[in-house]
Amino acid sequence: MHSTLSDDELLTLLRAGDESAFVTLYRRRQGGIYRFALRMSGSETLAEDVTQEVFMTLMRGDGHYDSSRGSFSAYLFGVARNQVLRRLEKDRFLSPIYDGAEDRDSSTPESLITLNDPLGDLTRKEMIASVRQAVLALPPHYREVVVLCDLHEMSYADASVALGCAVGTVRSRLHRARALLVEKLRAYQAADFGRTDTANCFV
Amino acid sequence: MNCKEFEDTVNEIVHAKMIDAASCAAGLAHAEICGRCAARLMDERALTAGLKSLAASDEGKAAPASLEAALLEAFRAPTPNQIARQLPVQSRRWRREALAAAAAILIALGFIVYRAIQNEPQKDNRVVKENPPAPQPSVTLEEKVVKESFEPEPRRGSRAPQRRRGNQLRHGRIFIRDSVNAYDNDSEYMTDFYPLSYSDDQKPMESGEVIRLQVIRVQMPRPALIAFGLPVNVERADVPVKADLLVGEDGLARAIRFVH
Repeated sequence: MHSTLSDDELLTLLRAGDESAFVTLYRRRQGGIYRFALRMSGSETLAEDVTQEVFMTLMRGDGHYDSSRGSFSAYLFGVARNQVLRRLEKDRFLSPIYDGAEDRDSSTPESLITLNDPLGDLTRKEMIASVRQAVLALPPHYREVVVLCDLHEMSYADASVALGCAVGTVRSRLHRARALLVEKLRAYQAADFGRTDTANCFV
Repeated sequence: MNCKEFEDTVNEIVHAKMIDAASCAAGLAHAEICGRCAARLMDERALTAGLKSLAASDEGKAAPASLEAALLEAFRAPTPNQIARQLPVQSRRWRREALAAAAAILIALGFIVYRAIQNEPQKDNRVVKENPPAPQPSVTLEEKVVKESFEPEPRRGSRAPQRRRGNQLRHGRIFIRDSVNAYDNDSEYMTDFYPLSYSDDQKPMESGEVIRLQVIRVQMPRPALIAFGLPVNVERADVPVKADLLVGEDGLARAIRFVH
């Protein structure tokens, strides 16, 4: 019924207590928010919690969305980002994020480890797993720009609204984050090479 | 384009965004003649492909349906904030004033009991007469209270409550016109207003500060009269006495007068 309305119009209706506006807005935006939190944390539980908190914030009217400062989507990602960072800070001793080949070696599923082609490229699944690990291993301020700009294909302008920083900062962080990712992926590839080589010795 | 410029723009070249076509072409041309930058470009393209694959693999992921149900339930449930928002403003204002009045009465009673305890050794079972507390101007009034200075009236011998206009502060000599007279009744006798001081940091009445005051009629234990140097009939000690409290905006009682 409200599917043709813009986010801003739905928000106005929501604030007036329109339940179907809330449902429409939720269904339209929850996927992106959930995936953002999942990619930032690697935890489905945390992603669910963050999604819930973002929409509870909307419901309570606690946020201060200003359409002149950016899109509603960017605003929602900003709320989600704050929630994620808060949770990561709180849980940092409970849920360590992979950083380094040794950790990765001990946790990579066996099904994703190639044993037959020590010099070959990573298979698609391996590559996805490696990229996921590498993204999760980035420091949060680099991780968030990669997640927003590369994984969510958000524009620099919207990302700057979500992150509360200048467009130039987004651009430079993304540049640095991608360089770090390349380094990490190379390191993983080298570790895989050593691992598969060792595995072949036992074949 | 040199290697540094290429490094600065390699992300934009790969993404083909925020870069004009000429710069993009120049970057690609540089990569063709520079092996290091070509490798860098290849890395960036591989990374972009990897990130796109990761994004595609997560594409179908979404919050569970149970979350939507839980949020809807929360949406339908009225929160305390919503209930408060629905309350008429007038009702909330009335509640605030009632709370302020109750707080003022409690404070005044506490003060009077405290003073009564302090004066305990000096009283006996007969009619007690004490000097009133030393003048300590501590109330500043205006708005409904109009300042008019008077010369102190010569006190007569008796301290028995006289019939007064009921509108003078004993020490401040401030004439009160409106709300203070709201309780005035020809059949009532009233004492002067006695200022109530709670602490040393209370602003003196001469500070010139303008505050709003409200008069609240209360009943108090008769022995409270002792604290203000007024006689108490021991035979009627258990009969409460009426009093008017001057209560400021901050909820503090500033002065008191007794009514008969």
